[in-house]
Amino acid sequence: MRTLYSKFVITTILIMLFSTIVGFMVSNTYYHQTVKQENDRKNMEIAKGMAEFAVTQDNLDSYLKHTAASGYQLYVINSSGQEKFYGGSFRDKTLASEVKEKVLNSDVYHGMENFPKETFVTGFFANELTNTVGVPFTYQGESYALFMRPNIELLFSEVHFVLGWMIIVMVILSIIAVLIGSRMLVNPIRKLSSATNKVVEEDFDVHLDINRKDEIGQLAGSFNEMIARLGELDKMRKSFISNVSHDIQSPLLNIQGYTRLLESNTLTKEEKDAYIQVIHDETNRMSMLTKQLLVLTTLDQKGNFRNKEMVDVTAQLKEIIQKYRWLLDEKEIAVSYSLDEVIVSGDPDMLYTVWENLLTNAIKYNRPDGSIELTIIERQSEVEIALQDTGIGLAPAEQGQIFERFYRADDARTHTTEGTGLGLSIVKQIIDMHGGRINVRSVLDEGTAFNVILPKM
Amino acid sequence: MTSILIVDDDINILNLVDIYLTRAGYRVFKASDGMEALESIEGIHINLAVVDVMMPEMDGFQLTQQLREDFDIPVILLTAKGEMDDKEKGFRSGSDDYVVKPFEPKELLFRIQAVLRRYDKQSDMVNKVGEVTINRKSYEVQVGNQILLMPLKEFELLSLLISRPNQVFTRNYLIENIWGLDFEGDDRTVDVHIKRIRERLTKLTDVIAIVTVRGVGYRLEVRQP
Repeated sequence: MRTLYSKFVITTILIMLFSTIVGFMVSNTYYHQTVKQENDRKNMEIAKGMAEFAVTQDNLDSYLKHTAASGYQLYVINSSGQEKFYGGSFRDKTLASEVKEKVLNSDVYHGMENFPKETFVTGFFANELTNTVGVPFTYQGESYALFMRPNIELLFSEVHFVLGWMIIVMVILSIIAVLIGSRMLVNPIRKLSSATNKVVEEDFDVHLDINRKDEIGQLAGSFNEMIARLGELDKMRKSFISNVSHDIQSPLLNIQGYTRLLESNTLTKEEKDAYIQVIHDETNRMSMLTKQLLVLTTLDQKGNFRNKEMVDVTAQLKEIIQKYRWLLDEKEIAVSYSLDEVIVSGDPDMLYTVWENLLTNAIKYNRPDGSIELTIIERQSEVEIALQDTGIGLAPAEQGQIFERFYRADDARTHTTEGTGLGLSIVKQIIDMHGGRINVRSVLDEGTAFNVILPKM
Repeated sequence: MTSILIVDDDINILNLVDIYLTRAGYRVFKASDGMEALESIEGIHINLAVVDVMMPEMDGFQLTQQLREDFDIPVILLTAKGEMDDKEKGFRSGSDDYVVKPFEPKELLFRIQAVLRRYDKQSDMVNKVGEVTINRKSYEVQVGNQILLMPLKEFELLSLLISRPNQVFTRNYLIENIWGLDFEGDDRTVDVHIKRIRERLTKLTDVIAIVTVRGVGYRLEVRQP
């Protein structure tokens, strides 16, 4: 596996190489463009000085020897063809004879300035006879030509050494620093990756202890948050599934049990009817449960729904009352309402479900000959729909829990097994999605009132 | 015996409704489309028809129109959920009521009874006493802008009492007219229902009151506010 470490190191070395090459090329170009002329001019002056002095010397040879010793490379030739080198030797000693002739004929030679421009050759360091300046002088009646360049090797060898070490130390230190730096970057990433693997195994008990203020710190923070949420959801999902399976399993067991009882031949008609009634109730309950589960999943999927339209709440309420009029009649419950037309913006199907759930609850838990009162209060920016029944009511402890999924008031007290424990949680979820709220007030054995408050827009 | 015609192309719904209606004491005629329906009622007296809207060839609206115009039969339409336009169309084509699918058989039974009762009694549809309006078509009691939906027996009792204010009705008369001759309960039933009506009305109005006439029965009194 190619680790981040090796990638960092290789990248660093490549960057160094690249910048060295670019730096060399830039400075070389700069030398050729600007420094070369300056250098030529400077050296030309020195050479001229040398020539001036040479004229006055008694011993030319020893003078030149001494001058060269102070850090110059010299080449001298006279009109009779005698030539001699002083100081450090040139790597390339060729020089065109026309050049020599020219200087002997009292002209100067700008070899440094005219040194050919090459990309990978530094003109400054080129130890060649062509890379010199040439001046003429006359000594004892004979014309001489003096070619000179500074002895770079002599002057700069220590500098080379120092510079070289500096660069080596710099490179090594850079690589070490990159290694340490990348370790600091890579470690949290390794932690993240191992934490992710744990989560893949459905272990949500993971906490990253990465305390940094940079992007990785932020990433770790949101990772922790995400895992906490996922853990919660996972817990909810598991308890949901166990609840659902229990709620499907128990009616099935009842149905199984009672069908077996029905197989007996010695049943009275009353017994038979009672058993069939149980089976009927249980299938109803299961049918209701699956319907509501369907509603719940669509609600969960919709999340923040967008298909809002204007909903005539009054028309919906009237329609639902008509729909359940047979049930109201059967249980001898009266409904009274005074409904002015009220429009809210929302999802019509979802709101219909809210009213239907609330009304069927009010019927289911009412006493025979009881009543249900529906009122709508329209305010500036919101609408309040109140539904008051004369049912069995809720104990104070129950009131806080009724909106929880699968919460059901005690069967023995409610005298019914029909509920699924999902109806009111659906109601609450829909109202929350609409930005509304629902309140419950209830007195045990007297009745319950639900107030739904929805914003108009 | 009351005869009811059911028209639906779904054989399962047809059979289910048949069973429930037969058990409720109706005589049932079935048809799976409009043409068959019109053929099958030739020469038979039908009291009411239950018609599905979505049917091949002749749809429920067309059939309703023919049943109303040519045979003068009241019609209840069966519509699918969300077909809001259907209601308007339905009432325009002359149907008396509609039930949204899927429905509880008991809901349909309730609607059938309501429509039949409405056709049975040719008395005034709407009866207004003071601020109290009794609507026999929708079975609603309206007081001011407040609407009260009572269980049917209570509604009929109130409706009968209010049709002749101040007249005393004996308990026997009320039982015979509301519950029918073969009712097995006793006078107590009337008393219980009257008590409930009083409770429900006092919350809304004091313009009308049901007064007990000792040893005889009840009468409805109108008090001018």
